[in-house]
Amino acid sequence: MDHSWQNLPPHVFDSIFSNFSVRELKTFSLVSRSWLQSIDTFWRKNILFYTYRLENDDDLKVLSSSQRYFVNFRIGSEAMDDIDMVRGLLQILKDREEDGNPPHIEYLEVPLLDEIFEILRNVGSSLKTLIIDGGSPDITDEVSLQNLSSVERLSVIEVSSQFFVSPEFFKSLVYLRLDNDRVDLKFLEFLKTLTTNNKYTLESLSITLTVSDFENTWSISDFEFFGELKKLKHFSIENTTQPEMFRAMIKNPMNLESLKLEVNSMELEDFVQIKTNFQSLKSLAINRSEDLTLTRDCWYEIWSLENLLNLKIDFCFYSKNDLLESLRFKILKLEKITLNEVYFDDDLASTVFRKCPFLKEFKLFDAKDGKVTFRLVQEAADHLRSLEVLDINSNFLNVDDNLKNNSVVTQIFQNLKSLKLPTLKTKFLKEIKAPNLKKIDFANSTEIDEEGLKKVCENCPLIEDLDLYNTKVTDSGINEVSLKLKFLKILCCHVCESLTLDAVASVVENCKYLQDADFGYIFKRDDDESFEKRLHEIRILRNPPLNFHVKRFEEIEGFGKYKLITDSCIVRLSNDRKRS
Amino acid sequence: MPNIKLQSSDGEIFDTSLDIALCSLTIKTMIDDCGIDEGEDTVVPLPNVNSTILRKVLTWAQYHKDDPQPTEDDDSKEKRTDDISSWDADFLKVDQGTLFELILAANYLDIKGLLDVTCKTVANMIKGKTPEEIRKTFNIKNDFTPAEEEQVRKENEWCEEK
Repeated sequence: MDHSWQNLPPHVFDSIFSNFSVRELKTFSLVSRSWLQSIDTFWRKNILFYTYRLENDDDLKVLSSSQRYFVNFRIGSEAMDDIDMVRGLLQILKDREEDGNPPHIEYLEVPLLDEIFEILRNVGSSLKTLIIDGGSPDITDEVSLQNLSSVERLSVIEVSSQFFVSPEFFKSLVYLRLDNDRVDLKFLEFLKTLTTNNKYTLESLSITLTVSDFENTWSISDFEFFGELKKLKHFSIENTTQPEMFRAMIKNPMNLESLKLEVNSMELEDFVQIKTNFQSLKSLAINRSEDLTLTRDCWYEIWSLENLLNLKIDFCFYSKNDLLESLRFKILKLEKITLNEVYFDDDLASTVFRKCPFLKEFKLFDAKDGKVTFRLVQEAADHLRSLEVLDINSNFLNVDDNLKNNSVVTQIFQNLKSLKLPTLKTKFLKEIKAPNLKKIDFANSTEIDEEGLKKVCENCPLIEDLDLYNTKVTDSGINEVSLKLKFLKILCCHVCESLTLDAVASVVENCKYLQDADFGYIFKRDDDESFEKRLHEIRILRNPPLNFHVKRFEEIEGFGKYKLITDSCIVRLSNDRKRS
Repeated sequence: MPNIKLQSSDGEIFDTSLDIALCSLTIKTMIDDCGIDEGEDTVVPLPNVNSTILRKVLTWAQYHKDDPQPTEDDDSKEKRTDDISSWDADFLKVDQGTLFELILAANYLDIKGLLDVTCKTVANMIKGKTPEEIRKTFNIKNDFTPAEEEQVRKENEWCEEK
């Protein structure tokens, strides 16, 4: 029977394609011309966030010769080449316009250059997100651009003249971010007009007010417009010079859901204001408040935010006793706690975990002078039934001693999905039962033994993301992993110098869902000769792996940026570590 | 419920219950528009569907005649390819040619449920395959020139989900 799958009616193709992710569809577009065409048509109708990043001349060439449809553009911020990129993009947009194919751009991330205004005039009224990042135009006057009324998200970052366009032209802003070092009265006026014009739509506002050379030229009444932002849900302010300014902003009651403060000093009265005015607050972040000491009374105010689910404290001082005392007689609803550069130790863990029995996520990045040990893990297992993420990046001391003292520890984490402990040793994990674990990080661990890794794979068969960065894992260890972890999607073996291409081969053969594998710098220089030869021998039958790193040298002679290994797979040869 | 006669492209007449035939919006529209009266001995011609396929379609419709009508909301639901019922899965254990004809018939007859399930079956056949494997599966010729193929690859490399 002669039938042609090429010629199915378009909406049948749509119905089939709607079952796939963008990534999968990208692969399918290589099947044939008609598939490419059908997928582009499908995208045109369905995919909005399809970003094209312009970084060099080659990118421009690819774009200008392409008939395909792109809705989003991002231009890098390397100032030297930016002008060429922007001009190139402008030319392409003009050419398309002439060909009767007017640009429809929804996302534009560009530096502020004179040419941008022409692009903005060209993109019509389709633009939804505009990110202006860096750059300094020659223009001195505000530019009139009527068609910006469709923009819903505006970010202006490190631009020498942020008043490049009259604030009147933005009429439907939902998200606004103004991030600039130099702030003056004109800036305040701009902010005021912009927010007031968008007061019925604005939900998220993020501003940096680093005031340098104007001090008493503003008054608290300049900030009265804040109280009018009735739809505002997310507010973030960085203000490291004049605390009176952020105080003026938090003095009105609002239905905020999240508040992020990065201010140079806060006092008890500020916490009282926050508690009184923002009772609906779900998320509170206090960042880098170098002069801030959280007293017992400050903690009381924070704990009396009844709806608070998410607390982040970054670089503050407090006394252990004040925190412990403030938690007496309390059971909190908190679901997420993130701590960075604050004092923390095992005793605090024990109390905090008992007082926050609903915690789903606990992250600790630097416990300052405090000492945390394996006891913290025990406390978490004992008290936190719902814990999904445990991420400890702090100094983790006396682990071995501790383990000896508790030789029959069996930690059960029924719901744990992601685990990171510093210098994690596989032998601990023999004791940890986390049947639902999806992500585990062994980065930099000095003790990864094959037996332990095997046990981990058996205890946690659902792991999708395994980080073995800079460990001494062996080929047979990786072979074990590739056979046992059926759902592995992300594997990092960067600088695992004991590995050879045998490990690469076993992963490629066995892990059917692999999306990102990093084998950068996997073996020592002695093996140079065999490397190239062996690389050609491994037959990679699938596409993806989209991100597959195998190179460890600056350059291998004869290899370009990409090397085609088989008909259907690109191996990316790169020194960059994909994830940091 | 009265019966209605459907004629396949190769001339075979299918005497079928009206409520089954009405699964097809195309037939429903024909009946509504052309004022084909119930009870009359009218034959509805279906020149795009042969007898083998029409028999399959009517079997499917017979089994699913009491299913609730799909609503607009269904479109916005997250798509899943693993929710094919075991009856449908068995029903669709057919060769590729038949599957292809079934899709065309479901499309022509406008039977949303059948189109959905056949498209899902095709999606499952494609899932996880390389372009080369897809070409083999469906006997599609790679009509890209090497340069074009490289261009598409490059474009794909630079497009990021965000």
